[in-house]
Amino acid sequence: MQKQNGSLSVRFRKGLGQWAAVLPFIGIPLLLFAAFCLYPQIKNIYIALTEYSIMPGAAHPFVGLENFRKIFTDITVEGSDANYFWIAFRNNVLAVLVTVPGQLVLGIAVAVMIHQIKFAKNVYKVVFYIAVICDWVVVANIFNYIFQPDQGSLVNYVLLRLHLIREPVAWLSNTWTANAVIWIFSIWKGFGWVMIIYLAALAGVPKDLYEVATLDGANSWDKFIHVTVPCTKDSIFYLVVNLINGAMNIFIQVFLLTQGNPLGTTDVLMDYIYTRAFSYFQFSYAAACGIFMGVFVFSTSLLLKRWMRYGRNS
Amino acid sequence: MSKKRTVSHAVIHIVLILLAAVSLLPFCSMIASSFMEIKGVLPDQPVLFPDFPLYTANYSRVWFENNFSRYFLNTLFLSVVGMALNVVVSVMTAYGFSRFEFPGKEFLFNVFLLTMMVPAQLAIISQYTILNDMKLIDQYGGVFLLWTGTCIAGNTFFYRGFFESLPRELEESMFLDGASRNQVLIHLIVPLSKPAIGTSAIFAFTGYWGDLFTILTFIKTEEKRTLSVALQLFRGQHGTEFGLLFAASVITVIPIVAIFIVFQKQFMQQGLTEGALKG
Repeated sequence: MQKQNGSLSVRFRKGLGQWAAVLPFIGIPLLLFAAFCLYPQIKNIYIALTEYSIMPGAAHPFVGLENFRKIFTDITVEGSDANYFWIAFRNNVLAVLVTVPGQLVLGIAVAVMIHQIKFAKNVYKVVFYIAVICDWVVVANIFNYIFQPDQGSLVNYVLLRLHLIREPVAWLSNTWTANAVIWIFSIWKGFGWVMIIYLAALAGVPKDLYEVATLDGANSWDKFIHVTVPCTKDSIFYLVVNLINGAMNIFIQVFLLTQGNPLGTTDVLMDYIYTRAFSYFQFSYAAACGIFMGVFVFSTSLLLKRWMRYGRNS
Repeated sequence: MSKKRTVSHAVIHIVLILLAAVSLLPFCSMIASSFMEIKGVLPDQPVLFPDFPLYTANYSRVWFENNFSRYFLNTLFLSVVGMALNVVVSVMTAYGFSRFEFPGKEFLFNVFLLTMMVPAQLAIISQYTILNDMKLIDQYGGVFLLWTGTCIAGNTFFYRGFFESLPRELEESMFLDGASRNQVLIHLIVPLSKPAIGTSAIFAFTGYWGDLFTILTFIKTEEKRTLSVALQLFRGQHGTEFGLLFAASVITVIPIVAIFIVFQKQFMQQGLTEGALKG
């Protein structure tokens, strides 16, 4: 701060003038942001601490941490709210552990292959990206169809023909096959995005590094590990953080394919929360679960960033 | 050396073609099935190619009898208006943040970033209570307010970086000629930012076109539904009439695929912008 601006009232007036100048541009947007993005996140806390009713004029009695306590009550009792919550939580963690490496490896492998060739690059890019841009409902319909229990469904038919299974599998009716379908679905829909981001990163790796490596007698794998990966570290970091975030927010796949069935064993947190709120109208309990999940996602992504930055410097 | 390279390229092509076939097979199955009468039990073999002459009754039934023509127009209207609002509001905010100094600017920007780190879907519960209090449930107005309010943080982040990379000299000479802030924004910044605005507008459009949960949660009247929601509910009613279901699916997805093929470059640029900005 400069001396002549030091007096409080002058600075205040200057700030006011600056706000007056910028307000025509950011006034309405800020209002919308506050009302429909920021305030809802804060109001969630209020809803979670009360017994909220959406009836007009209804009272919202304060119940403290009661809704949060429910998340930890009777965890081991089958059929309790908490039991279903933690099954959903487990499935979220599994979704991260399976779909993040799946998308990352497949997307990077495809990107590296496309980067190598000269002919028909764009055709491949378009083909692998189509799944990314298609509506979730449409691709969910397709997956539901090719994983039907009939012997004529695409997946059963191919597996029967290859003698990998002896009789048709009811994929979406068993916990682990249904979970596997959800994971395959997520990987199939998501790896094209990884490919696009990684192709851009590959374009930035200096060519002469590869030439030096070739002179040193490095094979393709050596070059990938010792040249490509270090040069694209930042993009990989960006991809990992975004994929983990996406996998933690897994929702629409489950909502469209299994809705948590059989018996909530394929459920995930977001679907659990949405169903509690809009099918059972337990707004307060759902909000409490949401805050728990939000805090978990927020702190893990913060920790992850710390840890990966730390790894980068050492 | 070059022979070795030719062989390795051929191997890569074979692997990629196999992968592409696996990726495209589900789509083939969808398109072929939409031209067949499939009800209840599936045929003994998966349908990958339609029979000729094509059976088109599924399409006319979906379009005329099941109201999909109406849903198509609804979706088009919502996506176009949503995209326009999204662009106008985001460009204005980013301009404010990149060209003005005001107290609390960086604090506000950090609040934007903070809200981006919390799963946005979680807000849907309280958003419902807010729109309910405003009597905006089942109104397109409520949907527009939500879409616009929730796009600002991420888009400001995206555009601000782009605006700040634009050269200032032209702007200064425009100001010297007596141009206002508005004129500079409309006649200089916006034309220079066409690629960035185009990319983000296309993503907004496709995102709104395929939006499921906002419409499913906040729109109740049947005539106001969009394609995604209608398709989802249609599946509940005609779950095993796969031919019909896939005709509806193809109608829903064709505009998006068409946009993708026309604007390929903008889609692929996503990698460039995101990779370059944060990578």
